[in-house]
Amino acid sequence: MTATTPATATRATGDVLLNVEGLAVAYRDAAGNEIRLVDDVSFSLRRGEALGLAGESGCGKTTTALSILGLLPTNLYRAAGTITLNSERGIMHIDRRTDRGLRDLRWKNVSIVFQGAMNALDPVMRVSKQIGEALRLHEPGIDDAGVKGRIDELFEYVGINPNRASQYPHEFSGGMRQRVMIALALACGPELIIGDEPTTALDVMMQAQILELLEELRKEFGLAMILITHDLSVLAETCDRVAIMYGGQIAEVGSVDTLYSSPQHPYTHRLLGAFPAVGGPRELAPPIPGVPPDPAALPPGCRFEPRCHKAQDRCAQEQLALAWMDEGHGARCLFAPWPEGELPTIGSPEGAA
Amino acid sequence: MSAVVEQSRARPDGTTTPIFEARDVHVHFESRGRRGKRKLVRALDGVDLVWNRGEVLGIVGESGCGKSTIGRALLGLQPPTSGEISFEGTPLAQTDLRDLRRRVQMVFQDPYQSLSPRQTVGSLVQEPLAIHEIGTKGIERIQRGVNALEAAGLQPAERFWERYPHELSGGQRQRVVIASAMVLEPEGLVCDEPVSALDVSVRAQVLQVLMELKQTRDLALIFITHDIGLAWALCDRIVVMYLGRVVESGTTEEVIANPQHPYTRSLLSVVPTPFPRKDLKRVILEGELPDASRIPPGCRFHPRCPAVMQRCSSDDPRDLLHVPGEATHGAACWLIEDAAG
Repeated sequence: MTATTPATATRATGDVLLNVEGLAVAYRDAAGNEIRLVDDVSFSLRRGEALGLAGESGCGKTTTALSILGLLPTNLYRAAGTITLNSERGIMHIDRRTDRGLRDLRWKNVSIVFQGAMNALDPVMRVSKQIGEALRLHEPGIDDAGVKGRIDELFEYVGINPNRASQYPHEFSGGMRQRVMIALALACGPELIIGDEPTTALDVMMQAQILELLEELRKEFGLAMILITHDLSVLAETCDRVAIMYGGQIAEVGSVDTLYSSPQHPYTHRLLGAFPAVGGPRELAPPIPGVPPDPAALPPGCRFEPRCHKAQDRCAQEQLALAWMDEGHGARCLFAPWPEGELPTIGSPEGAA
Repeated sequence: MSAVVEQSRARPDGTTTPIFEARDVHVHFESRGRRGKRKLVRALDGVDLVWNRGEVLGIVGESGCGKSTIGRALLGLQPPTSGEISFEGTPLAQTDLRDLRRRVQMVFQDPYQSLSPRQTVGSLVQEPLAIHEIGTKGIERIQRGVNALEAAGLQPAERFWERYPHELSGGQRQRVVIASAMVLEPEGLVCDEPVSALDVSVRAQVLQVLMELKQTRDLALIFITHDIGLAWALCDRIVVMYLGRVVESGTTEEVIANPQHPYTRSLLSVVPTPFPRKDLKRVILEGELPDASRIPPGCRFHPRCPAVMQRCSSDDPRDLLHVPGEATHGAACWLIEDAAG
């Protein structure tokens, strides 16, 4: 069930690069029931825009991102929804692509930077060879000199001495490895980069260096970016818009300024409280009690209801669709300040599919 | 010439002896570098530190700055190469380490590694009592264990008593670690990145448990962390470390509102916050923290310092210089002497 409010109009307008509509990702349990890890996720992304996906572990943020790359683990499948990339090479329906079609798209149109570069890079292969492989796959005509020239150029971009291209991943420090990973992600000139906790394992200064690098490259190449992290402070400084995910759904989405200064979903509110701002009140905000829901045993109404400090009887009975308050700011909560006379679209538990 | 800063709050009248006091503590290791060449790693290189009773002290810095090593050194887990650490006024060498470890406990970052996987929660939480021969085996220790678990937010304790660590979530495990530390009713708790391995909502829950314990038991805490937002919200005093040395120290307000050392300023300017500060210009330092086996001469920060002066490459600002106009604020930087002098 998707919102019937002018969702598409109030989401990213202008030059839309990526459109995810009603996405659901699921697995089958032993009894053959469909268990949805991601449900009713819709968002779009403009060319050159940075969107943050935030939430606790298991909220579905990484699963959503992997769907965009067609890299879902084999036990998961897309149960509903469409993913469309409005590439300069034409419109690509990612959800309809075969494995081969997806391979063609990865690195060339959409690439990813993972958290642990050590796991993402092959430890027994020189980094120049790994980048070269990606280049040769997508540009069959390229010769050795062309590969070398391109690698030198990439290393310059990410701030590593090109002489180090022939080294192995373990010879780089954590921050440098993440730069190699970014060079690899840029190699084939993608339009969209997905960063899955790209700086989580790094120290503050290194984190600042990598985030700054991503920002520069994004501006220089007009790249769009989806940044996945649980750290709301990182998103505040790097993204244009943020989507907060909870229990496989988007709980709230909006521009960084709106969302951080006037969060409407109680979950967003409490989540922000977990990141004390330097110079702000010197106290801890009340924590969110309990743990996120088990996707196999979701609450019947609002998924956040059992942990919500504002919950009322109604919340346990009705499911809400993401509905829009004003330009670009949407939330899945009954108590958000809806424009007068406009109640959010409400689905019954049965109609959730 | 600026005065050298004393970190203790109640020094002049001598009413309060700090829990710990470290004077010029060095911890050096010998390690083998490339081709077996020996090198000396100076993990701590002249640290002065005071931890007062009932105080929440934040030790912040990048990884490799020595912040974990100082925590270990205070508890006698890492004997200093030179310098002196005293516990309640008595040098560590003459302190009964057993007694010290009952009264000051440590909580590590990774709750997976600090709990034996083959013991139940009930047995884990009673073990410190058995080791320190406190109470009688059976009902008395069980009661203390139950109380500690419930104080750490594992309620009702019976529900967790028979479980093994692998059956618990990360947040629950960290609570068991805290309960096992608190069961001895210590006066101080050294927490080394206690929440950085935990998920967002769980992190706030665990922090709340620690702060409640501080309030109800008058517990002193050390937070070793790289999270300045956390230090701001929780700590009374902050020391900033760089390459094995304390480079700035003061009350949280002094250090955060009026950072003096260029390193602290840079660190504060790059820490992401939900509401970015407009008053601090972002200063991202180039390169990485130098190797602790090759500490630069002069001021150890000078090769990366945006405000470097000529004398910085040869004169080591050994002591914290007093920041004019502030009570306990000091920084190891020649800029202060310039301003004062």
